[in-house]
Amino acid sequence: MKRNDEGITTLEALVAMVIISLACTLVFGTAHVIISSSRKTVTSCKAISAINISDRAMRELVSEVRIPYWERHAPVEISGESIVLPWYRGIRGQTLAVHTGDNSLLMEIQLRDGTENIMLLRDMENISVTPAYSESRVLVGLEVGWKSGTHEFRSLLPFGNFFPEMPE
Amino acid sequence: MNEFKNEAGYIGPQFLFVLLFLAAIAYGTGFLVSTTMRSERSSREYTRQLESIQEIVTEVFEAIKEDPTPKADTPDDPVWDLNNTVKDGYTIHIRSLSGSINVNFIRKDILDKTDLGKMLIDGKTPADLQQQRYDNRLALHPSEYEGFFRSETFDSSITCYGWANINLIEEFALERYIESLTGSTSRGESYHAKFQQSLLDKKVFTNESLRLFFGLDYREVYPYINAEPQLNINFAHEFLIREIVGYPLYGVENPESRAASLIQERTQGIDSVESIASILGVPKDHPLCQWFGCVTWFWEIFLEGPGRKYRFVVCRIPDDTIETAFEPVYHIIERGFVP
Repeated sequence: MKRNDEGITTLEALVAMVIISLACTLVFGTAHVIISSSRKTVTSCKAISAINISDRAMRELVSEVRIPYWERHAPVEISGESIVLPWYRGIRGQTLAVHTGDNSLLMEIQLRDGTENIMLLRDMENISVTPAYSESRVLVGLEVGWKSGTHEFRSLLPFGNFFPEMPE
Repeated sequence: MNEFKNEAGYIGPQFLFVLLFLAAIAYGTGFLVSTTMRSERSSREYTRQLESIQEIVTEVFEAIKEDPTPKADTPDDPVWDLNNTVKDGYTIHIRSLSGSINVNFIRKDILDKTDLGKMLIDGKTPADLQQQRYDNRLALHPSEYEGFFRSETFDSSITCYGWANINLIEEFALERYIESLTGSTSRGESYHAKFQQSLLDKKVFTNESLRLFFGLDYREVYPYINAEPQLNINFAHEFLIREIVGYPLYGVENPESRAASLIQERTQGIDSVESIASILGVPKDHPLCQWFGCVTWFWEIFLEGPGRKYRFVVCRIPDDTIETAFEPVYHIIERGFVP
């Protein structure tokens, strides 16, 4: 009772302030670390979810390329950052173009009655698209690769057609 | 002491920090769990759907392969038991594409001289079709011939799937076909010229003479071009049977009644080219036996599910080897969701 009546000393106040600021620093620091790490995890989860969705969409779009069983020398245009595939949905004049550049992957569908663009990847590094060939050197699909953060992804996207293997 | 501290407000701020801290963790964890679960659920559902489709595809494919009478495909074959059945929410629809004429290859003359020409829309002639094929090359999808054929023929009478019979293929179509198969324009032109001579000589090719005709290129063009009957009589549309049998160049006596007999007999299932020749009253090397056989070369199967449709195409590879142990080879050549 006596101390309360007399107040606290400067030293006691300083010690109390130091203790409080240390406690605050500790609490805020920990909170910051946890929140930022949880934000990172959430972002990474969202990215993986987006990648899964993109991968599925890419897979389905590429599977709509149906080169006829007799067309063993289908003309595929490869230029710089673009690949143009004929026979989209089994129609010669319809194309599926895959454009990479600016860390994004865009698919451009050219139908008889118009064009549709679908952005499938954005803000990814090292995006690459290359034609995939079978052992008998027949074009069978596309191989797409990209980098997100520290993760590298590679996906083989087959066409919707398969060339029959003929007996020797 | 406690009373004093509460009044002085020492516990309040600390408690708020702890609350904030816990709320942040709870939010982060909750979001993480819900995102992961949503993504996982959607991924699992998609995988389950694909697995289910794969099982049905395998079942249908196996049923095609397990035909106890591989030399004759009829509506009694096991695969047809699956037609219009529902599996895992998918309704199975099977179509024998060898019951339809391949419009990539059909000759101008038979369209000109029979009512097959009526499949063309008004204002279009067989010569227009010939020109379209030469200019735009062969098509995989009948919709590419939308401007030529009546829409009602699409599901019943015409297709773009089928091996080409050298005795029935149109000469310009043959040139384009060989170009596609070999990747060489000059080979297409050269075989076209050679083929024109065979047409003038009225030569009827067999698998053996086909081998001689193509020489070193045989392995590149066979079995895409062969000498096997093009249509399966057990599935061909009645209209096609009547018109082909009635083609004047084939010189069949009483074509209407011969065609009617063929249509009648096939209700029991026709199982050999010899039977077809006998019903038609023609020898086995007659051109009609290039048209009509008992084998289905291509099937188209649709799996119609809730909101989505899956399609796959199966082909049977013709075999030019003469073997007693006969085991046909089948391949899935197309598969995927369709709009």
